[in-house]
This record gives sequence, structure tokens and C-alpha cells, in this order.
Amino acid sequence: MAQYSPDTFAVCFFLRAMGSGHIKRTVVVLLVVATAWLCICSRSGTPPVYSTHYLTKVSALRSAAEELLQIIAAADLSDTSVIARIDSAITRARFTMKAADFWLRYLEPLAYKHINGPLPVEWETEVFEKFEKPYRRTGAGFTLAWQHLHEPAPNRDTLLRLVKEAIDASAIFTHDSITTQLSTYHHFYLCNRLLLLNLAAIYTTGFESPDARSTIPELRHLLDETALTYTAFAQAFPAQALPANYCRLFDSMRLFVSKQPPSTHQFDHYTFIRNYVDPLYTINQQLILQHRVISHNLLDYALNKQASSIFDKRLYNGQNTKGVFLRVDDTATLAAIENVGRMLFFDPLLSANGKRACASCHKPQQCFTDTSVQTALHLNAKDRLPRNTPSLVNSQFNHLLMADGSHYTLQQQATGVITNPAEMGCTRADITTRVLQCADYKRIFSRLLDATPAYNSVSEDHIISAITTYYASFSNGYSLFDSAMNKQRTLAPAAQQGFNLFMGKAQCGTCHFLPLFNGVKPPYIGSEFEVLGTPADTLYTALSADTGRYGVNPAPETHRAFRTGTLRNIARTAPHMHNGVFSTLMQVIDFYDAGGGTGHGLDVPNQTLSPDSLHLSVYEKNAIISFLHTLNEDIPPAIPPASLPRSRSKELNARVPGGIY
Amino acid sequence: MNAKTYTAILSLLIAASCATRRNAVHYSFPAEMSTTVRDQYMRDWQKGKALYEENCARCHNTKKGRREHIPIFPADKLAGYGIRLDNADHERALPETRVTTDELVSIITFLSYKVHTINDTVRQH
Repeated sequence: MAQYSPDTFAVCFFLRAMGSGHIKRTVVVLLVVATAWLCICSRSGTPPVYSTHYLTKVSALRSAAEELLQIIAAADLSDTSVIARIDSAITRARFTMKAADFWLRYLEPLAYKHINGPLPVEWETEVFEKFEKPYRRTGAGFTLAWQHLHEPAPNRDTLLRLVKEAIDASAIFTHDSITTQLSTYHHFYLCNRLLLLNLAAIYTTGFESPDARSTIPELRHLLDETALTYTAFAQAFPAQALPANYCRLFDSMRLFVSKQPPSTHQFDHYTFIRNYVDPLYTINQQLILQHRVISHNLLDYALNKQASSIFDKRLYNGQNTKGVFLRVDDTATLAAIENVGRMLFFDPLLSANGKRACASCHKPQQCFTDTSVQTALHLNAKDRLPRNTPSLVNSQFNHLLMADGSHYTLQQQATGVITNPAEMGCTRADITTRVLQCADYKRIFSRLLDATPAYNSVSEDHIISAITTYYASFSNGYSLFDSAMNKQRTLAPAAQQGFNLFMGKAQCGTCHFLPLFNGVKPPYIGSEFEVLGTPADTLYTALSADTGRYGVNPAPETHRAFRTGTLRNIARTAPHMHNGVFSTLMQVIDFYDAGGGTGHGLDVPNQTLSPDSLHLSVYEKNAIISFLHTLNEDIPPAIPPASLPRSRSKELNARVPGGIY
Repeated sequence: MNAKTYTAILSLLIAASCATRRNAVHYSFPAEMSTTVRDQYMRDWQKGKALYEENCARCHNTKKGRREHIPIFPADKLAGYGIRLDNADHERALPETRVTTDELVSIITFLSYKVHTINDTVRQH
């Protein structure tokens, strides 16, 4: 990347500084950086060009935030011209943040949430912490400050706090624990991986970007600054520098973005991701393997180094489908586990009345859900269950499971359904007893004991793990959209338009993140919940009475919040929403177009969806539906077992494969 | 009893003594732990032991004569998720796709409540 010499970088920096009239501040920043650089280099031997570049960007961010703080402190918030002045200072601060985004998001994502937090309050359950009770985390920074500034009566103290937290957070990025990571090349490729995933999922949609008009200008700036970062890295680590083919493609991407209209609504998201972001990701993944990149960040464990594309199903590790059989690599043994899992999936043995199987509600021919009913029948055959049956396809690509996120492993999910008195009603003790009463199952599982040295005898864990292993067999399919993104196919023009609307004007992509199309976004360590104001009926006479996440974690923010589900196969999994209230995709899009529950006149004080109309035309809505159809995946046909193993318990031998329901 | 039965009993006894010898690792839980919690920890400890042998022993154990020794892992090295990051080899040997977080917790329980013997050596990784 010859065009980004250090001279160009310095000239750019000064031109920008002079353009905004902050020469004095720039000089001070440079002096601070030079001193910090001398300190760091004398201690750890960090390559100077690269670490100086990093520290310059972090200092510039801090200076911009301090300048913003001073403006707010001296401002009269009733004066509209002052509001405009603060608005531009926030924009300047956001630009300095974008210049460092490459590192900030990766090196210390928690601190980053204080610089650019999307929500005032978030309930977190991340990686290791998902085993614990969700904890409250407040957001701060420029996005929330901008939002507060444009509220009817902005409060100075609130604004000061939001910016002060960003200043404090920016200081964390100069700590030794962070800067020492810059002394080797490893972090660089992992930062770059996260950047590319965010380019596909977040940077073009307006997520975390308060003013829609700034999204694309900020993206351009981010890409220009990233190019400078690449150059500084290449000088410090010439043996691990990005190769020419990557740099050429990256430059083409910058050119492409510079020629795009400056609005997310008109931006060609399809071409951007397909022709640039994903191919760059492929190269970066090859380089991660080639340079034997080692992670020192626990967040990296969610992502698979073997995935060759963003649209490779291996991208995100997600759930452990194999359960206790996790370390089984032998294909014949795996096939045996999957096969017994399939038998159990179709076997009503695991329900209290011996009539209902997993396949009764998760019908293989209906995408492993039940498209014929709004919600499934209670085990008592009289009542209805409160929630719609979720499809099991792709359930493994989730951080938390269920509409309320009550389970964090697939094994808990399967056990939860089998032992739920309203669903299958089996007791935990009966799971093992009933299965081992069948000689065939006993023989199969006894043989599999060799694969699990931590167990002396066949347990419930083995049985449940076999069932969840089977889930993976129908979650590995690809959609037309995936093939189009991998350049094996192309999408019809209407579907392409639909995708661009999905990512732009209709704002679907700000919650249903690429490539999973659910609420798991880079760095893939949490599931998002949203309060939409879903109605109880299509006439919008009342809100759904279901409290959602509140039942698991009671808090003002979680009342009626539901986990964002995937849109993969959505055209096959009607009815929609947690209560199955909408039977068509058009009804769902109409719901969002009008601003969710609030937009339809319902009282949803904590709605996270904007209550404003999206102003989508009928043509646009149909284009989005065309696109959603391209998310239908190739799912191999599920073949029910011809017969079921005989049980020692005679009354259980009248079982029918797939159950009677 | 015929010779066959004697042989069977004898081989069982030999097998049992070998097993005891190889698995001569003991646990010690704090006295103030309630019986219910203790039972839970015991089950987790046993599971952790098997998982340690399956996933960790090959690299970490040392051989002294015919006996294998499990090193003493300092408490600060048994810091949850940090185990995956502290040791560069764990990127390959201990990813989420090979040892789940649940299992990692069991291994930590095993190593934390294992009674150290006089031959054990302290390992930093």
C-alpha cells in the first residue's frame, strides 16, 4: 500500500487539524504522544511507528471528548445555536472515535461501550458470565449524548456525565495491559477480523450511529483511517504486513464507498458486502492461519478460524450440539450418535402419555416448527401453550435460547421441553429409565460409553446429547442468499433491492444482524433482546400479556422484552412473533413500518423500537419479502424411523414414530 | 470354588489395586460446607477428574517412576476463562469446541480441591 506513506499520514493529520482550527491542541496532543511513546518504547520495545500511530489516535479521541465537555459545561442549553455547536462537537468526537475504532472495539469492548454505548442500560450475559445472573451495565458516550441533546429538554449534568465517562474510558486504552498487545502482530489480524464483521453487520446500517446522515460519511472516514493503520502496521511488522491483493481490494472498497450516495437508504449494501467485505474476510482468515495468529482475548473463542467466509456456517461456534459427545471426532461414531438422536426425536417415549414426540410440534416437513397453529396444544389436550413453537433449525447459532433467553445450552432446552408438564411432562428420572428399558437403546448407548470417560454409566446427559447432536444435522444448510454472497449465484433485482432496504431504510439489519440474522452481533458474545410492543391480536386491541425476559430477569428494561430470533427460513416458519400473532410476513412488516406497538397506539413505555413510521411503500415491502425468501435454506429431508425400539414396559409398545398429536 | 472363579477374583483384585494406584488422588472440601453442596461438589470433582485425565494430563502430568503426578496449579492460574488465554497451547488444546465452559469449571473444581501429595510439583501453566 505505497500510497499511504507516513508523510501522507502526517500531512493528512495536519490538514485536518488546520481545517478545524485546532493547531494548538494538535501540537499539545503530539507532545503528549511523543512523551508516551518514549515511555512505552523504553519499557517494552513496542514497534514505534505503529504504537505512536495508535497513541495519536487515542489521544485525539480524548482531546475531542475534552473539548466537547468544555463546550457543554459553558453552554446555555436553551439556545438553539448552542445545541448546534454541541452537535458539531459530538460529530467531531465521533470522527476521532472512528479513527481508532479498529483497535478500540477489539482491545477493550467494555470500555468502548462507555465511548459509544448504544443503550442507556443493558443487561449483560456474556461468555463466561452467561452462567451467572444477568448484570446491569450502563452505557455512555457520544451516541447517547447526541440522543439526549436532541430530546425536548436536555439536561447539562446528564450530558456531562455521558461525555465524562467517555473521557475516562478513553484513558483505559493507554494502560500497559492494552498497549503491550501492540508489541506483537497477533492482535492486528483479530482486530481486522472484527472490523470486517462489523462492516458487514453494523457500520452501514446506522446501528450505534445516532444521526442517519452521518453513517456513510463516518464509514468513509473509518476506512481512510484504517488504511493509515494498515500502513503503520506494515512498517512495524513487514513480515506480517497485509499482502498486495488485500490492499488492492481494500482500496477498491474505499473507492466504491466514496462514490456511493451519502445515505444508508441509497447505499448499495449488497455489492459492498458481496464484492468487498466478504472477499476481504476470506483473505484475512487465510492470513490468520498462515501467520499462526494466537488470541489473547477471551472474546475470540466465539469465532472459528476455519470459516472461509462470513457466510460460512462455521463462522460462529455458538452452541455445543454434541453435548457430552463433544470430543468425538470419529465419523462412524458420530453417525451412530446422530442416528440414535434422530430415533429419540421421533420417539414419543419421552412424553408422560407416551404419545407426544419432539417431532410432534417440531415437524421436520415444516422446518422443525408447526406452521398450522398459532401456539401448540397443551399436554392436557385442552389448553394452548403461551408461545409459538420456535423452529429448531439454526437454534445452535445462539448465545441464549428460547424467546425469553431462559436457557444457555441446547441440552437445557431439550431437557426443559421434555420435563415441562405442559409440553412433554416426563420426569428427569424417567428419561433414563424409559430409554434404558428399550434393549436397542441400551445397547447403542452402552457402546457409546467408551466415548465419554467422565461417565461410568449411561445417563440422561447421553440421551439429551444424542438429541441435540441430531439438531446439527438440519442446521448446516445454505440459502440462496449465502450462495449469492459467495458469488456462486446472483439474487434477482427485487431481492437485491429488498436486501438494501433491509439494511437501510427499513432498518431490519440494526437488530437482525448479518450473517445469522438474529440478535447475535459481532463479537458474537451475547444475544440481544428487544421490546417491540407485540399485540395480543391483529386488531391491536391489547398488548401481548407475556412478560418475556422479565420472567427470567425482572427489571424495568426487560419487561416484555424478547430475544431477537433468526430470519433464516422465516418464509417457512409462520406464524410469526413470540405468540404467533401474525400469519403473514406482510403483517409483520406492517407492524414494524408503523412503529411497533407504540406506533399502533398501544402503551409501551420501554419500547426499544422507534415509534416512527418507516414510510415503506407497498413495492418496498414486497421487495423485502422477496429478499426474505432467499434466506430459505437447503434442509435435508428428515426420514422418520420405520419402527421404534421395543420397551420392557408393555404399555409403551403402542408408540408410533413421530407420535400422535 | 473352582480354578476359574479364583482366577477371576484374583484378576479383579489386581485390576482394582492398579486402578486405585493410578487414581490415587483425593479431595478435601472445607468442613463448613453443607452436605448438599458437598455432594454436588463431589460429583463435579469426579467429573472434573475424568475430564482432566482426558484433556489435560497428557501435557501437564509428570512421570516419576511408574507413577504419574498431577502438578500443583497455583490458585491464580485457575481463574476461569483465563485458563484458555494464559497458555498459548490452549488455543489449540482447550478451545470452546473441545472443552465447554461447564467442563472447564469441573476441571477447576477438581484441581482446586485435590489434596496435594509430597511429590507434587508446582506448575506455572
